[in-house]
Amino acid sequence: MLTIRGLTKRFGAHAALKSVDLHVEAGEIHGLVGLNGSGKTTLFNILFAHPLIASTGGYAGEVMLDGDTAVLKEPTQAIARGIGMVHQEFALIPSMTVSENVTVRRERVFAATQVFGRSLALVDRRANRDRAEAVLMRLGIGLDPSVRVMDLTVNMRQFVEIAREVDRGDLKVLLLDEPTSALHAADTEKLFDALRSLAASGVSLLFVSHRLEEVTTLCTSVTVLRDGEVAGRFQGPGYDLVELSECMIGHGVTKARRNVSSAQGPEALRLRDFSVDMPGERISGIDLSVLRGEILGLAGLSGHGRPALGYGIMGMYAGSGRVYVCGEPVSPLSVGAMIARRVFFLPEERRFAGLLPDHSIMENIVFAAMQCRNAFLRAFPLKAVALVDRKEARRFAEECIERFDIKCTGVYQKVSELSGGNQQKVCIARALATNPEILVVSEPTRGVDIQAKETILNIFLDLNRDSRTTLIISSSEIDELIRVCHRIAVIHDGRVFDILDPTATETEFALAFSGERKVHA
Amino acid sequence: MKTPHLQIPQVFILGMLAVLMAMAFWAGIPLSGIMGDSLVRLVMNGVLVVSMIPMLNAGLGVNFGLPVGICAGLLGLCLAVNLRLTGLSGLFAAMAFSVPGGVLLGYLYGRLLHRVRGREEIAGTFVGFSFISVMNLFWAVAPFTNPSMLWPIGGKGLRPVIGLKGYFAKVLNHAWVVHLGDLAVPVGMLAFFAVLCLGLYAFFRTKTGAAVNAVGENEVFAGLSGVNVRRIRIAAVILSTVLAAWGICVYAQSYGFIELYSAPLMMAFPAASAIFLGGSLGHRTAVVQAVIGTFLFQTTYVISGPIANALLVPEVAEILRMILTNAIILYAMLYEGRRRRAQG
Repeated sequence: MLTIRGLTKRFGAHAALKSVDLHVEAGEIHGLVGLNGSGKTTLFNILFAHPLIASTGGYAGEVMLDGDTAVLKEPTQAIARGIGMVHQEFALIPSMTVSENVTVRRERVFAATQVFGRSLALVDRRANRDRAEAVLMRLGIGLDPSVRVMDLTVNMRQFVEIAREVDRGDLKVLLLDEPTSALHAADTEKLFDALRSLAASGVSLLFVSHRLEEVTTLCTSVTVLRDGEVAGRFQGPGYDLVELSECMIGHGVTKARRNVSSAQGPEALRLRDFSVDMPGERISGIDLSVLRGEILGLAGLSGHGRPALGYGIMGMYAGSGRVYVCGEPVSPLSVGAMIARRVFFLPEERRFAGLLPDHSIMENIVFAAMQCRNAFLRAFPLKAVALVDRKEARRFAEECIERFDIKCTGVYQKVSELSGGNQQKVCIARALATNPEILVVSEPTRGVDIQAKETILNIFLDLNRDSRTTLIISSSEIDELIRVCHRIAVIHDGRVFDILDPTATETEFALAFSGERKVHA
Repeated sequence: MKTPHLQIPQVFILGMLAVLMAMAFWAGIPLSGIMGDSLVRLVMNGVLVVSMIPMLNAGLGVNFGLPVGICAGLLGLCLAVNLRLTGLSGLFAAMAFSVPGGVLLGYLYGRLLHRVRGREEIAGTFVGFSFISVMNLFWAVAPFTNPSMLWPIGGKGLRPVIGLKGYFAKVLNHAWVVHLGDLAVPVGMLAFFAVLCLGLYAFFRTKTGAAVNAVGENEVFAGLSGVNVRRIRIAAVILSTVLAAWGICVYAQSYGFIELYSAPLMMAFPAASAIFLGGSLGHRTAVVQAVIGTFLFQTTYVISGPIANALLVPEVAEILRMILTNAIILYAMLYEGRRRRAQG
């Protein structure tokens, strides 16, 4: 059994886990739920001794297995203590067969050939195949173990991954990170049966999923993490889904809300039967209409398709359906076409997609406007090779620094040297340089300190009030959405599950998050 | 502008240069002659080195496919010689003739490199190698008519080495040489190089230049800002290829010969070393860095020859140079690998 006491993990100044206690009995299936950034992944990384943890200064607190403290610095130590992990992205070798993958590093060998040690002995392929078959049968899967993994469906790979962990005789704790995200409903049931029988044999299971209904069907008890702390513990069976969701979302102190009542005006953006094929975040058949001057919030758990909307509108992933900007259809979807219609998208991964970290603040701010609207260029007949008007660019950048209170040494400072909040402000400034009428923002306040959060939200409110900019804000911080949005669309399972008023109760939000209709509330 | 940091290659070459200078002084070799030569060699090789910058900054890595551009330049040179053009106008005509070939080859080369994204350097190496074989066929059958270019016996196919004497050998070297005491400064040549470098510097301050830098640093960002990433990458390859074509024109006039067939095979490596020596480690290279790198690299080259002769072991200089050239490329790759690991 697994006991965690006072587990704390810091990444620089940010605490990802704050004194977390957790206890999992042998044979128990324990659920772990929480919003993005609540600390689930960090907890798993510590338990499986991901090198990232050691390289960022280790962790504080105690992890105990069967009553004695485990040292977890390298994955091999975790494996030696009987901890196994099923990864969300599979850790399988595609060109090897199922049986080779299941028995890797534990192959049966012909005893007689062990003259040069076990690692040079001849592998008994038939014995391994039989063993892999037996393990798969235990999981309720009839699968030919001589098939190569690359020829399997995603569903089947998930079972092979689990089979590999189960094949270890010494498995005591199995960590499952969203194992159902790639599975169909029928296979999910099969998987749950397999996990239950595994638990019955005495293995402790720690199960993470964003699908609450699965957690509540499978797990005997559930711990809710919120902002790195244990927000609540629930015992099954017979969970109160609403109470669980509320605990997950949290009863945040709601600060000053917006005072404008509702937006009225022509339609700014309309999606009809809109589908985007973004891996892991698919959306399908979305119908949504956003009014001019409106702030629309997008909420929903990760893996349900929230980020796909922005990328999809910009044509970054294949999709289908129609997009109308100010009543006119846009086809084909492309970034250039959208910016020309004054739609701008700021993605959530600031460092990987939203900024040029090695470029200066000024270069970042003017880039998109220069490329798409030929702004900040000196007069020259051929715009493609017109020189940048650095004076004008500098003036604009300085204005932005002043207006948004970007803390920096000047317009020439590299963006990578700024804090997260100031980087986000640079992102907003560069969007505004294109003079957008519709701004789609993903996770604008992730990894940003509280003060900068307020500034950023105020920028959005001012922008909406002064220049009637239409905003679509996608965020996992439901609290902030309630404060700034006119309406909040909750995305569940790739669809708009419900559009709620910000005055809706927390229960209503919780229900929408878990995909439940208001039946027993 | 970025201040170049002293990295291991710079420390090493500066140390080596200091030792060589001391030895030259000891052996009584006049330093003014060496300085004059190294200024000539700076421009002679410098154009080939700066030609790598657009591709480096667009994130395609070091252009080991330099022979592609070189072949375009050789074609321009051969055309100029075939028309019996002479003097500076002959050289500039050769450069002009190499542009269409450079644009076409650069476009095809760029399309190919776009298909092998992430492995541009190794793909470029083999494109360069195999393209030389294709051109070997071409040189052997091309219908040039000037007898001084053709095989003396048979009169068909181009010679491996075409002398430029009587056409435009050293015309740029000798354009406006100013004598300062013993030191002969090739002012015309340096001015030509300065104009080229300024042009490239200005290019990176244009809309397209800014897009090249952005694509090199973050393709998703560039894409989301409305840049056509594929088009920009191909444009950078075309620019690099045309500059490489001009580079060989300058090199050939300085050397006095056009070298065909397998001669361009290894020309990418010294150029790559020079660019790494200047402090560029594979991303966002300033023109100044390339110039400094070329100067350091070529000065070592110029100085080691007479010293080796003085010490009667001529092979040593060549051996040292080969070690240096290839070790610097290897070091840059090790450094890049370490940087990627630290980021990932």
